[in-house]
Amino acid sequence: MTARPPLDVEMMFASHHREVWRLIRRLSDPTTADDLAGEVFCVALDRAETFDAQQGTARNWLFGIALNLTRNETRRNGRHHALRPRLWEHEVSQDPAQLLVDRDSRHAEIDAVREAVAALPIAQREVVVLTAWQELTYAEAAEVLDVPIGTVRSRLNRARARLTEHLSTTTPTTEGNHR
Amino acid sequence: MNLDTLLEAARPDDTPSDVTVGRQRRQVARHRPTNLDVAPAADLDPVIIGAAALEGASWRPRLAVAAALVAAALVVGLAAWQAQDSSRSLVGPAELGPADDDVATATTTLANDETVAVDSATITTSPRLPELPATDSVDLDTTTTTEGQLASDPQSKLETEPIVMDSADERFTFDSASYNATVPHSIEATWRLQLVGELWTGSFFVFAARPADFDAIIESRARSGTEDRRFTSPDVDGRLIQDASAVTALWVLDGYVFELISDNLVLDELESVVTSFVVVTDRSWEDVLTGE
Repeated sequence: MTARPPLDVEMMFASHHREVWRLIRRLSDPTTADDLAGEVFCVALDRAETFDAQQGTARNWLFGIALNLTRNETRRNGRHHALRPRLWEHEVSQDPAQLLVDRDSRHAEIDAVREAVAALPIAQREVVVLTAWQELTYAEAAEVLDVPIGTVRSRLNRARARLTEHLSTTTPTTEGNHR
Repeated sequence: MNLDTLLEAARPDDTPSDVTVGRQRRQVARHRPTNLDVAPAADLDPVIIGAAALEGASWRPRLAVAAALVAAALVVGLAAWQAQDSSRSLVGPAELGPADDDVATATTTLANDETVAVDSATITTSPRLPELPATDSVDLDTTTTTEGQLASDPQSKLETEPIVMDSADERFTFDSASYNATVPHSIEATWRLQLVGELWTGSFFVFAARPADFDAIIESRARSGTEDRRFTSPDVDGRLIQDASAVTALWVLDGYVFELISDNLVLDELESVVTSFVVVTDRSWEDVLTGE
């Protein structure tokens, strides 16, 4: 059996750290991303033997680790309640300039969408973030989540329905178009 | 405006600061892998491994060599140490589960800022995780059934007798009476779980609760909308119950339900390697008890 080449975490960091940080930030908040993005690569070092370039890309493997770490962190911080909407409020309230911006209906709408995404069950939130915000294909999202592509589609459908329902009360013009 | 347009407009596009990137790059560079493939002690040759270090020009090979040296020292040191006194363990008392004779059972917990010192007589960490006395551990003595579930030693038990923590900055006594009075539903902390057989020890998040409270907890989660999973209420002691997530396992043991959430451990591995729980928390028991 041919030994796998050593994992080039240094190169991985240079290539993917920014996107890993963004994924965690989009799933949670900047502070959590600051805390966890580096840990993703430490875990990658620990689990180097589980990475097989024949089975998937390094980016998607790192994304999978990032999702697990973020899930754990979310559980630690908000096991019994919806954590994210409060964090969004916190972020907004911290920035006086943002308070002014929020008066603009456009930004209020954006905040409403972010809150709606943050309030999704975590499995649904993950597929929304991966496909809509990270712009992964369904197949790539399935690889990251290690689930069948059909599961990605069904979770996304449920997420979209929930988002549409949620936003219909705050943004009446929302239409639940599916791709 | 349709949903796709709204989602695109709402996408957070901020980026990490240069300071954050630099800090995390250093964090990764300092990190020493904890999942080391350690051969039997007789097969290790620290001299040869050390010589290889001279060839490494960048930090990565040096890191790999350093990790290998630590692993070698761990195994050699452990072998010598256990030969002196087989009742002693590395990181804390009564922490090692039943060991396979063919597998070197050395453990170390390497969190981000921890250091490890190794010599032939002792292996210590400078952890954030305080060590606990022997009564705080649970030895499961597990075996894998044909159904792939864990069965625990019926004699095993979770001790909830007073736990005295003594760390640099705190001293706190945890007793079962205050546990029962103050935390009727759950106790939550980071536990250190020893996985004997794969030479792997990490920090895991474990949620433990009494079965009587379990349904209420799941119900609470369902109401909160933060969980998209359905759990099966456990009814058999000592069984591993898994849900749809690859990172979570529920484990019933002597009246407690443990929800084990690992960063990257899959259940197949869990079933084959878990032999003991070690109660070590990185939070003060005061925080645990008050639910902070």
